[in-house]
Amino acid sequence: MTRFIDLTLNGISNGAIYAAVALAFVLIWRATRIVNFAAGGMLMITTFVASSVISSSGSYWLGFFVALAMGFVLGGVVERLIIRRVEGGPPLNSVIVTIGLLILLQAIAGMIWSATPRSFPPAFSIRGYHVGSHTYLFGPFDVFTVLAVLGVAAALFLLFRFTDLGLKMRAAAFEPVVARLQGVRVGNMFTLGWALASLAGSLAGLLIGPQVFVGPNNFDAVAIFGFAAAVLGGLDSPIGALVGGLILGLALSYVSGYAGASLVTLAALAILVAVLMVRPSGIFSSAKARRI
Amino acid sequence: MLEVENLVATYGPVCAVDGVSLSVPAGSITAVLGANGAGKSSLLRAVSGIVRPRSGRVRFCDEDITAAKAEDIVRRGLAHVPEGGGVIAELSVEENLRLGCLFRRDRRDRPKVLREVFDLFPRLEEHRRLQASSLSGGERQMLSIGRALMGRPRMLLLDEPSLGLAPIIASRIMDLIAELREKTELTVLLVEQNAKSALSVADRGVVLGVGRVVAEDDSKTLAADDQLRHAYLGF
Repeated sequence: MTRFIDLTLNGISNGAIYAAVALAFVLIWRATRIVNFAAGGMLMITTFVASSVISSSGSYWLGFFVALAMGFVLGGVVERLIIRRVEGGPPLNSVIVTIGLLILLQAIAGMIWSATPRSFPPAFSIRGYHVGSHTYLFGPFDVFTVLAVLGVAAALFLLFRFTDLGLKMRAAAFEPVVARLQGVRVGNMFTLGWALASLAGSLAGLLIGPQVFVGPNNFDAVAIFGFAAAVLGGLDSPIGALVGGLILGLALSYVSGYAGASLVTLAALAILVAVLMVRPSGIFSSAKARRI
Repeated sequence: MLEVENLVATYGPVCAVDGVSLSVPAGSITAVLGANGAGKSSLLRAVSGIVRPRSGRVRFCDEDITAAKAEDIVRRGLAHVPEGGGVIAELSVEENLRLGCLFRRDRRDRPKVLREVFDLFPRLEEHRRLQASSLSGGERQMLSIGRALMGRPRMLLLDEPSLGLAPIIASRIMDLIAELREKTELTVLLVEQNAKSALSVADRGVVLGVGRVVAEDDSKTLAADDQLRHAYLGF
């Protein structure tokens, strides 16, 4: 029983991280109908920057917030300079551009920081809580992980639901031409959508960094898991991204605990394929509402 | 209020608007009539900045807006209600309406203008919390006109407001356009395939052939011209 609880807690913690990556995919998909295959590369860069800031300044929190700010700026810059040229074009163009960007970012990271992975500190202790004689697989850093992701998700929810800016962003995402006719500067909304998505991604990088270490290719797995979670949730729905991340985190944790850690990636891909076969629109897709 | 000179707009090799000139006096309702494919919608899209005109000029309130962006043209007070209304199905009725006034700096006026729109369209107030996708065709048309009014425009471009509506609803919309002009002195450029009902509310009419103006006169004269009616207006 304690094993089951351990695996569940671990699944929730990792699921929160996958949910943050899934949010990065969903926000971009909603805004520009593009799957950002460079998401893993972008969060890798910001986590490297955090690592450098932390080791040179000695302050974890300085590195943490620099990485988030950089994620925000990087997302906006990428949209303005690169993605703007393929928006609205054939889907294959954006696929090729974002994959190319991923390779470019990984090469740049290797040139600056070398390809040897380095360790990355957690914000709080990763040692699990003791209850009686058992040490759970869930410690202060896991609490922080879950709260940080929930905090970002709640902030996004409030932004989209209750602010003028959020209304403009939703309008631009659903009907760009109509939004322009209402005076919405749609291009700026797309840039902001990418910036917020990249911010969510950079948070995920900071949270997963202590587990996977920081290297040019070390975030590939979490990017794939995050994408699977996004597809599971419907790719269109931020709430779906959260639920998808949680489901995937739990599923992978049980697979790892009961069937073997080496099966985790296989299980993630099996879930992805199963969802695409059985319910390609995901669990929370709003595809039906779009028929008008 | 609006002057269009020799406007040309193309979609790739297709010349949808081929040198159209017309002028809309302030406070008037002007109808643009013509069959499917005559270039009526393309004309509006070029005027409101969704499509960049190939050549020609568009002047609104004595300012050149030919090269202006759609999002800036609406800020000048020229609102475009696109074909089918352009209601955003995923948003609630009230969110659709709010969207129409976000570009205006005067925040304190927002509740007031919302009140005015609800008074004009009580049905929208009843359904304010519903998703716009659940509205009927007529209600959607009302929503999109109401949304345009939220920006307190000086002039409305209406693209086929009666398209796809039952005749009784369509005539209600036409009455409403006439009523709006009485109340608010709004200038209206009304694009319609249904020439008869459009001429019933319009002061003047412009008839488009394939991308060109073939006739322009006051409504009564147009409606009385048998040859024109048979050739272009279909009634």
